[in-house]
Amino acid sequence: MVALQYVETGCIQQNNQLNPDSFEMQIYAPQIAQRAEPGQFVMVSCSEVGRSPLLRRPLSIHDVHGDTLTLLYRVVGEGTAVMAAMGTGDPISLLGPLGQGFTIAETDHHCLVGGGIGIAPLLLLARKIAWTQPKAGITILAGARNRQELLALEKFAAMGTLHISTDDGSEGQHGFVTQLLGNMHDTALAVYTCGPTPMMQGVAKLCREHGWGCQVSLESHMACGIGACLGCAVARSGIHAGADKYVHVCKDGPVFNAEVIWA
Amino acid sequence: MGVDLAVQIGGLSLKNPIMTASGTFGYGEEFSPFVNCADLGAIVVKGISLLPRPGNPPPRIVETQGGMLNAIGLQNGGVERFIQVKIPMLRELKAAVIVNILGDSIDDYAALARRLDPLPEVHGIEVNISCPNVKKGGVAFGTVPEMAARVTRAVKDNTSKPVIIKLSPNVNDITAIALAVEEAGADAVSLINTLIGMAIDVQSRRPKLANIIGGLSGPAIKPVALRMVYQVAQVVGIPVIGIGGINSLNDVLEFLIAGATAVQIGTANFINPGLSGELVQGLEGYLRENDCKLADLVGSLQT
Ligand SMILES: Cc1cc2nc3c(=O)[nH]c(=O)nc-3n(C[C@H](O)[C@H](O)[C@H](O)COP(=O)(O)OP(=O)(O)OC[C@H]3O[C@@H](n4cnc5c(N)ncnc54)[C@H](O)[C@@H]3O)c2cc1C
Ligand SMILES: Cc1cc2nc3c(=O)[nH]c(=O)nc-3n(C[C@H](O)[C@H](O)[C@H](O)COP(=O)(O)O)c2cc1C
Ligand code: FES
Repeated sequence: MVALQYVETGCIQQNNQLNPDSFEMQIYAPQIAQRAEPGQFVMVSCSEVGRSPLLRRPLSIHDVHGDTLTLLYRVVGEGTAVMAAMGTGDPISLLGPLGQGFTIAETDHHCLVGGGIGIAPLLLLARKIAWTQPKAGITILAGARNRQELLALEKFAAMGTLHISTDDGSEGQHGFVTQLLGNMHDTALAVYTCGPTPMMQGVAKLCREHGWGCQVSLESHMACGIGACLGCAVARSGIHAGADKYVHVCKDGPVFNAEVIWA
Repeated sequence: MGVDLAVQIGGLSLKNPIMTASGTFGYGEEFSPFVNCADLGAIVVKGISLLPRPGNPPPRIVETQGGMLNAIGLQNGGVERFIQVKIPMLRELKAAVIVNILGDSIDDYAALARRLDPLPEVHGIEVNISCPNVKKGGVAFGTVPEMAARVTRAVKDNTSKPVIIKLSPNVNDITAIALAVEEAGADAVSLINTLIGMAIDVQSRRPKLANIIGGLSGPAIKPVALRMVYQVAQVVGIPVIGIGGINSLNDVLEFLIAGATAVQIGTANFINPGLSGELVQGLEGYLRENDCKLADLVGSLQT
């Protein structure tokens, strides 16, 4: 079966700066927007073909409204800096929607744990949970280094119960977002997380201890985004021989059950 | 009126000279949303070894100026899994399929050739004697003319399919290797494989690739590739397949003018997964508009 993936030239509708290094870009891209699932991503071309930067950059699909999709991104290098300089009306080439997204668990309480820019893929997830399981509870735990780096809070607040932590205590609970998760006491919690690797490992560990299902959204360096280059390998947990030693984030993920990666 | 784009590579008749490069096009199916593989001259699949290989630890890729370094480590599921899982899918694609093979020993290459020989889905074999990533692997074969010739003979002795030897650019004199494999019976040569390189993160003083070194590909290597294709095409009588940094029709034309009979598209597939198909159309349009034949272009460099 041929996957429904497109190379689509979208049209930027807005590219708003949210804090000194984070932006939210809305792009009219109907083919991809209409098919995007929570946790999937796009490969964004940050230049003309063959120009610098050469490779597309992977970014999660943060939100979708009709034919428009939203990216939430942090400027960390050349590619994201080029994106930050783009403006309304500019064309932008996207490849997507890519990867295996989140699988919404059958349960009555979902907990979405985001660290820093890792909050990005969780908004569309919250929307889909609210849409498919209107009675289920949604708790969002958002952590960041400081108040300034907390993103999209109003949108998350509208989706469920929002708890906040900051490393420096400038907003919400002083400390890590894993501590907020430690305060949860449901037995049938389904946890979904995206953020820095140590944070996700902490979340996965807590989930293991509590017997909660845990899905993690991983990152890796990518060239193709479609499973062809084998560049985005991440080691699986346990001992596996031969070509099964690694999973590939773009094709097998980016979302994995935590135990596939960390036993 | 259709323009004639057909080319002959040894005993292999291709619809057109646009192929895809091993390791950059998966097994074809990954690209089926973007190109009709049957429209391409051929697709060259990811390198296959006798036994499965896990590949290198990550990070395996890093972008550099105008190119990328990769140290995939020749990850693949081995020839048996290839035959079981990939061959049926390749059959569906109805493409001309060239299987890229790699080994640790001459016997490996011979065994791979023998195993692939009876499969009707396999139209040709490309022999990777040049991959720089695996410590005990390809390097030695591709850098010593006698070794390259021995691999060539071993493969030729075990298959009736056309054999393309893929040359390494990491040598003193690529023409010496090309002549050695031609003499040993190669039906064609393809070049270049990646150039060995590295990148360092200054802050941590660590290599950007876990494997420390990797293979450079992309637009950055095109001038080197073009020069080598030109030099090799001057000395061999067998067809030369040009590879290295091709991402536009103009690049394709440059390689043909330098002496390549066909070309392979590599890294550019990652940026525009539909590019190979677009280049077939582009080349057809160019020949029509300029009222010229493919054969008039190949090796037409004016010096
Ligand atoms: C599936 C997926 C989804 C992602 N979603 C988002 C998102 O929604 N918002 C967002 O801001 N970022 C996201 N990222 C990370 C984003 O892809 C990188 O920040 C981006 O590629 C950096 O590009 P650059 O050219 O600006 O920086 P570069 O110049 O390429 O790199 C700058 C620094 O960032 C590091 N880096 C580069 N790529 C990555 C990567 N993939 N992961 C971790 N570090 C990297 C480099 O090693 C370097 O230190 C996602 C990554 C993946 C794999
Ligand atoms: C990610 C990646 C994987 C590759 N894997 C193989 C391989 O398995 N066998 C092989 O012969 N060449 C392999 N190559 C080399 C390419 O086929 C090609 O020779 C090289 O990339 C130069 O072409 P380009 O600049 O157009 O990419 C690989 C290249 C890349 C970028
Ligand atoms: S990025 Fe190429 S295989 Fe995942």
